Amino acid sequence: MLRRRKDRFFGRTLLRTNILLVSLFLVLGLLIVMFPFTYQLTRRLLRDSQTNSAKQILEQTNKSVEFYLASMLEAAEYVASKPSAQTFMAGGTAARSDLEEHLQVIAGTRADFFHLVLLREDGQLAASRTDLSLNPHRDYKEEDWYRRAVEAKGAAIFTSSRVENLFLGEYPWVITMAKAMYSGERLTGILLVDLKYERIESIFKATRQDDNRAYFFLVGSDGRIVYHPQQQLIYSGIKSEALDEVSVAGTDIETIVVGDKLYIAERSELTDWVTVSVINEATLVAFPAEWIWAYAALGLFFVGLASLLSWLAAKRLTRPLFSLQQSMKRFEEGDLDTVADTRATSEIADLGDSFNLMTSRIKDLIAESVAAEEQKRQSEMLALQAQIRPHFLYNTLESIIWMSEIGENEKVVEMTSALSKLLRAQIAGGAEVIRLEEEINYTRHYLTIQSLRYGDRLRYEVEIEPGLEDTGVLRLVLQPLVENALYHGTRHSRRNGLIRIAAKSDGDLLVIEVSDNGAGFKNAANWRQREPGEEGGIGLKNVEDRIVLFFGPEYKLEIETRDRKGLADDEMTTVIRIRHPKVTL
Amino acid sequence: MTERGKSKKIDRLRLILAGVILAMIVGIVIFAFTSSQRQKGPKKVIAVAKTTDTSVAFWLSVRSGMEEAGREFSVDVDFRAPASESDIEGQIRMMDQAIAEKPDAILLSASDQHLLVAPVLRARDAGIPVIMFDSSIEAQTDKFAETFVATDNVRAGGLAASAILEAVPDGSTVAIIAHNINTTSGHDRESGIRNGIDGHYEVLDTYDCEGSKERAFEEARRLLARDDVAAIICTNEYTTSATLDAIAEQAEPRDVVVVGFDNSYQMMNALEDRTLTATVIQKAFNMGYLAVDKTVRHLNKEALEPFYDSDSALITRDVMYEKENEQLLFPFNPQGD
Repeated sequence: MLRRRKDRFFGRTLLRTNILLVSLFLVLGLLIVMFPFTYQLTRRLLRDSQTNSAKQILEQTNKSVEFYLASMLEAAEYVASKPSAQTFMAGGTAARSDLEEHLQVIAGTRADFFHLVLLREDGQLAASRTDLSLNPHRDYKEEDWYRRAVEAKGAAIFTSSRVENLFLGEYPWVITMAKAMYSGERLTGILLVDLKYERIESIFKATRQDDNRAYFFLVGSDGRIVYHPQQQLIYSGIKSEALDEVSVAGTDIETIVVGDKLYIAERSELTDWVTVSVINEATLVAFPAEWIWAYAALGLFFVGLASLLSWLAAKRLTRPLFSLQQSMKRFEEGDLDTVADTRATSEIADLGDSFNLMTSRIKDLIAESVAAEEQKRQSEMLALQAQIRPHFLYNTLESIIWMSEIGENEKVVEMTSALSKLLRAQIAGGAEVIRLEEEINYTRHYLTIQSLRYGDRLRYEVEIEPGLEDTGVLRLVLQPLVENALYHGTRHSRRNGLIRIAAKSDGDLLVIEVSDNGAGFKNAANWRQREPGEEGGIGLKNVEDRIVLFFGPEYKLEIETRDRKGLADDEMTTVIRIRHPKVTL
Repeated sequence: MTERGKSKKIDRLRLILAGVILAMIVGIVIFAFTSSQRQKGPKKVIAVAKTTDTSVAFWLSVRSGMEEAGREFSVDVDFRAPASESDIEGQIRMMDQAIAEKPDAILLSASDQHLLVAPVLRARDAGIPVIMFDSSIEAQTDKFAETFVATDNVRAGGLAASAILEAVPDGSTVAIIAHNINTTSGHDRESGIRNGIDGHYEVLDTYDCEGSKERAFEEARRLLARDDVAAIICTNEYTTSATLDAIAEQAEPRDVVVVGFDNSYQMMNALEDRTLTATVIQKAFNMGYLAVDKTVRHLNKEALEPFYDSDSALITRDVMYEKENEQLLFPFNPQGD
């Protein structure tokens, strides 16, 4: 059932529909197959470009951060190397105002420095700002940075972002560099530089991208956040970041995927901080809806285009086919002069040419068959005419009557028998072409009757080349010739009439000759124009017409004749010759 | 018969063609539509707060939380407020101005829970959703707003109570100075405190200073003059400051436990010198962030709860420099640009 329905849909549909469907399937198939490839490829390209740009920004950011911190370090080293600083730290208070002036100059050149402070172990301090007093409620020696600086034994340490609570009434956000100072082996104090946190913050804020697609953050050496655009949300647990995973990153750029986030991390050798770039995988997975729409719209457009083009192509292809079909239909309806339009692609033009050839052949064949039919009808009619005429029958019957009156019974029997056979042969009908022997026998019956009537005055001879008996011959062609020879050549002659019938082979031809020793054929050249009854009249013409109709115009009768004068009685004057193709029965 | 069959086939062909061309047109229309959609740009919301006074760190934090969320969700947040918190008429005018600008949504912190009901209804009638933050409107009318993002003040009061329970022995006398018992924050904080300490202490009747710092100061003085008061709980920034002022004024500071709300530099110093035992801090940045976050969710047709707690934290001297508290206490650099 299904099979049949399928057949109905695809089987006998228009060529145009088929071409259309094929091209639609092709385009749709291509679109469907290409979609995942294109999707994946575009996604990967997008991701790669995002990752690459993130890496570049990461390196830039790292450099900027390092620049600020390196400058802090430089300033610290410079201060530490000053003799006034050395003297102050060693316990001398005389150098204090000198040193403080010095610190002010350095801090003054750098807007990003909050302050520079030298903290002596005994609680004395020299600072770039003199309006500050130590926070009495806090002991800085309990602070984390102090512990770390002492542990580092003279190497600089960097804190992550923090609120500086060293001085009363001020709580700035800073990044602190601390460096323990020694006089020989003895710890004398701490050199402390506070860098304004906004400096670092502004570097990161500049790299911030909208809609959280990508952002950067900074993790301190203690694994805690130095900067993060959503620091408070992380502390509140509203947002989370894979800090444990990124804080172990090395100094080469590393890519870490945690959950739906892609982390690119790089550790700074100077500060031991890790700069992290975050790309939200979710924004990558959530492929831009416009892309999919654009793909779909483009797909639909190409489907439309393909069908339009295939429709036009199919139209171009089927228009000549349709016109050919119209021509065929006209031909079918009987317009034999239909000529198909062959202005089309060569395959279809060939088809049109073949069609035109076929119609002309059919036209010829029809004409031929009509002609052949006509010929057959004529031939039949002529054969009818070639039959024994009634006056011959009448004469024969008269002869039989008087023969029986004079008691010539044997002759009556002979004559009646011959007439009977003659008539039987004549009415037998059937084939147009019969064996030569049959035709000769028919003629013999005729001659038997005539020789009984004419007695000694008529002699005849029949010579047949052996082997020709079974050759086919058109029926009733010999008897009319003999009748002609008898009536026009011999009957009115006082001499004894002689008729010779000869049949011989001449190549492809069977030649039958009927000769007589009569007066000769007058005006032999124009015998065909004669009236019936005259010599050569209707009888010969009938025979010739039938042969020509049957075998073609080249098989005309030949008549040779000469004058009787000066010839012996037995010499023949006229020969009528039938040249007849050999027909094998 | 064959003619009819053929015309049927041609009909089918035409049908397919028509369908395909229709699909093509639909495709182009969709494409054009989506690209025009894209050009429409980010959503715009207007936040109407209580004050633009930059000395109040709370509102600055709320604002930066909103701006942070705006950046994250690609929403244009227009933050505005009257100069003074008491300028209720000014806030109503601002609401009407905001409605006239036809933003995608309005965020409102009502400076008066009765008088701001009408503007909220006007916004609703104009088809603009209203999201309340920090302070809502009257309980019966707050259903006209989409949601309310604020500190859960009962919980915050509970945090203050827990600090008292830790620092003050049972059976002592405890006083409460409320900034305004008729505001939701004052009312809720007071009941949160009472829930936490009732049964442990002799709790005096709550003193309502009705928005006046002077009256709070007077009440603090009175309480300090009483020898039996072991602890004073103040329900907002200025009541706490008034109490700290009253203590500072004393020639010989009395040993009294003070637990406050919100923060200021005075309060930070008081925490450091232990005059202030603890303070309960609202997470203002979170409040701003969540208000915009919920607004975006509402605009994305997500269902919202009627209330979201933006959380609060109890700060004592020991934990004030811990990372997660530093940014709550010192949200901005005073030296900053």
